[in-house]
Amino acid sequence: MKSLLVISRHSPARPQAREALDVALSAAAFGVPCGILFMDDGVFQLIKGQDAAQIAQKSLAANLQALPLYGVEDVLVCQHSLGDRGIQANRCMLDARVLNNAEIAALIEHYDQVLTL
Amino acid sequence: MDFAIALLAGPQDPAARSALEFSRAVLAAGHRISRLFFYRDGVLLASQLNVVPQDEKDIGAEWRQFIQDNHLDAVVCIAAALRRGVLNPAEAERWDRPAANTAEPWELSGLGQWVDALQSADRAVTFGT
Amino acid sequence: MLHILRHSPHAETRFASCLRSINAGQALLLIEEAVYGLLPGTATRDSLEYLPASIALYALDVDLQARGLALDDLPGRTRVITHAMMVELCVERTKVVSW
Repeated sequence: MKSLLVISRHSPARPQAREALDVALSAAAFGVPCGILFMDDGVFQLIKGQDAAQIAQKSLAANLQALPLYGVEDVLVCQHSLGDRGIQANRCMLDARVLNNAEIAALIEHYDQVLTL
Repeated sequence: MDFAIALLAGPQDPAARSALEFSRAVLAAGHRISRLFFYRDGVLLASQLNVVPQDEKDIGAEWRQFIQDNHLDAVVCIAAALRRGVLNPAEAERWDRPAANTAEPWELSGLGQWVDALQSADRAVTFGT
Repeated sequence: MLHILRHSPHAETRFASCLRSINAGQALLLIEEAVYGLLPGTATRDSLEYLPASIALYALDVDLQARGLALDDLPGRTRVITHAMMVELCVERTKVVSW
């Protein structure tokens, strides 16, 4: 099977964030070796203590935490994007591996297919 | 070579034109398009209710013609389509809506169709990210 | 590998994210609004000029022309291509990543 990396790069209140997650979860459900990389505003999805109900939205947190259960093996976050946005890796809700630019370049090379969503 | 081509942006976005011209070039070069997949606002291409001023190109009509002429598999993500009010007669009935606005050659189906196309194609190219 | 950028560097962070994630030997194609990154005298233009020499830089002809970018004022390394050549490029490179 061809492996698939989803690069999720939108903030959690945007529908794109859920759509990126849906693609990763459905690929994993079909048994595709799958990873997800949070990059650019996508890293905002990982901030702890979000209460999406305040703006009448469904929380993404449960789905995010389910990623490993659904077989999304690799959960990664871009160090540069975190730094740019003043987020400390230890404030993230997932146990995401923090990658620098060179590691991200290698990651993109490693996966058979890459979708930025 | 088999191409899987996805379009994620709607008819108003330049990406709808880029994806169409690229798809035409793929076939012109003798390659095949194993599946077209429409996601996010790309599903709006499948609506037959868009009205374009007469002196402007009707990108939706051009896509439909291209798909029909070449007998292509054109899958529209059903979840994205329902959210944006793109319904075929079966969905309009299921959700008790007053009208349907899409039909053949577009097919409403799940994200699994994209996952499947990504697996089987030699090349996957996405437009409108 | 071929990276395709479509957003203006001034509107979006992904232009910069893509440039940070590109490896030697790969190819970069600018389409749609991303061709604005080639305008002279800008930081983006500089960053494109200073990419490692092994990275091939392409721009789509119709998108340049539609946006009034002078073909004789592009970085020397830029190869201007048609949609047909874009298809060839996708065939040559085993993987395509759209940003």
